[in-house]
Parts: sequence; structure tokens; C-alpha cells
Amino acid sequence: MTDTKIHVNPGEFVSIVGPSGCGKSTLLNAVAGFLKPTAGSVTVDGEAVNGPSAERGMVFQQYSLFPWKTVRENVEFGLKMKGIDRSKRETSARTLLGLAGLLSFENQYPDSLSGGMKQRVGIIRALAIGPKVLLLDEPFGALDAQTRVIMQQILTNMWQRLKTSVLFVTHDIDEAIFLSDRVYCMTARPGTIKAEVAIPLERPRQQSMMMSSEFLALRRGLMSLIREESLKAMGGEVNDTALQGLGIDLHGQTLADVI
Amino acid sequence: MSQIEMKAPKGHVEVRNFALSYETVTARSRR
Repeated sequence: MTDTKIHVNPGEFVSIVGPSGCGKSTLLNAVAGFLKPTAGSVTVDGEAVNGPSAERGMVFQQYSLFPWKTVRENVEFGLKMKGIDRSKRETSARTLLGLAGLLSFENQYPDSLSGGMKQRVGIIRALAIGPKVLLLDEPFGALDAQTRVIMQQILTNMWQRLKTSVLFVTHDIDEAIFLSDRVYCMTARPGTIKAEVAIPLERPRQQSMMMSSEFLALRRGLMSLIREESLKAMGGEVNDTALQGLGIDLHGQTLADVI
Repeated sequence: MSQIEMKAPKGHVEVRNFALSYETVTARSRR
């Protein structure tokens, strides 16, 4: 990665999209404090990021819940580590569980939950510690398409109420447009920021907006930016002309004639 | 004068001139 500049304003929802392997997750890991930059700086509210901190809540694609703890105990974990007393912990956890539609599952164990439910627990567990910024690394990547769409709606509704700063990594352009105030598009290796796109869609966001001409215009723009980079990332032989058949004419031969 | 104390904005993230070498990332994933 080289000469990358991004920012997230307080209370803003910002996404990073780009081809596989461009460094989206690496950038997020640097903001989380898991990686130290070779050059440049990462700051949160003016303070340099030198390592992981409760100020930055992280949600991964794999749910990473504690299987031996109940749903509520998972959400309470960070608060317990901060020394918050039991009744305050329980109240905070139950409020967040209610916000995520999971209050009736508070005493269940993660094994009994669906993927979408587990990830909702993961998100509110990260929110429970009151981070300055929430970092999400392809959180819906392991979910089926229908669940994913519902999770996007739940996340945007939660964010609308909590107004926490969010930095969200995804390869799904629709997801990035639907959720974000701004989207950064990254280049193929060496990864850097290729474009910054403002998303002026009104809030609250509804799934029906994904069919609007405004949404589709944003989608077309981002798709063309990313397609160019994805082709670069896939190597020299794959380009727009070659995709018609990778430039090879078989002159009517079948597989049996070729092998 | 307003009695309301304005809080400083929270959650402003800034990444400046960030660079990370391929070696740094791969060295970390080997650990």
C-alpha cells in the first residue's frame, strides 16, 4: 500500500471498496492498531494509533463470539473488562440486544443462533464498549444474499440511532452505496485511493432506494471504477477484449478436438 | 452565554500518507 489518505468525520459512515487483495482489510487493521504503517500516520481524534484499543470496536467476517458464553454475556464482556458493575452491564447489554432484535435470545448460546444473528451479536458486542469508531471488515461476507440485505437494513437503522463513526470494508458495491455517506474506491496493488464518492441519498435508507435512478447512477460509476482495477488485479491476460473468449479462437473445435 | 458545554467531536479518524510494505504484511501473517 502506498500514499493512502482517508478520513472519517465524527458520526459519519464511510466504506472502502476495491478489488480482492488491494489492501482494504490491511488499511482497516492499521486503523484498528493491529498493524503499524511503514510510513504515514493513523490518528483518532488527533491521537496517534499505536495499538489496539477499546476506542476502536472491530467486527470481523467470522463471528468470533465466545461459544461458552450466552448472547448477553458476550455483549457484556467488554463492559466487564472495563469494570462496569453487573446491573449497569446488564441494562446496557439488554438495550443493545433490543436494538438488534435479539432480546429474546439473551440467554441462548451462539451455537443455537443463525449466521445473521451471530453477526448482530458481534456488532453490538463491539458497540457495547462505546467505541469512538466502529470498524467492520466484510461483516456480512459469510451470509446468504437475502440475510445480507436484511442485515444491511438493521445496521443502517442502528447507525441512524447511535451515530457512531463507522469505517466499513466490503467488496459489495450495492452494500457500500446503501450504507454509506461516502465511499472510497481503492486501486489494485499497490493499493491506494483511486476515488472518493459522496453518497447523497437521503436517510433513513430503505431497500426500495436500490432501484432509484440516483442509486443506479452511483452504482454504474463505482462499478466502472472497480472493474478497471479488478481486471488489473487479475493479471495481464484478462482485459475487456479478451473476456470475449480470452483471445483464443477454437475455429469450431470442441473440447474433444482440443485435448 | 450558553450554559451548555459543547463536547469536542468524537470519532474523527484520519489516515495520512499511509504506506505499508508487502514485507510487513507477509511477515505478520507468517507469525
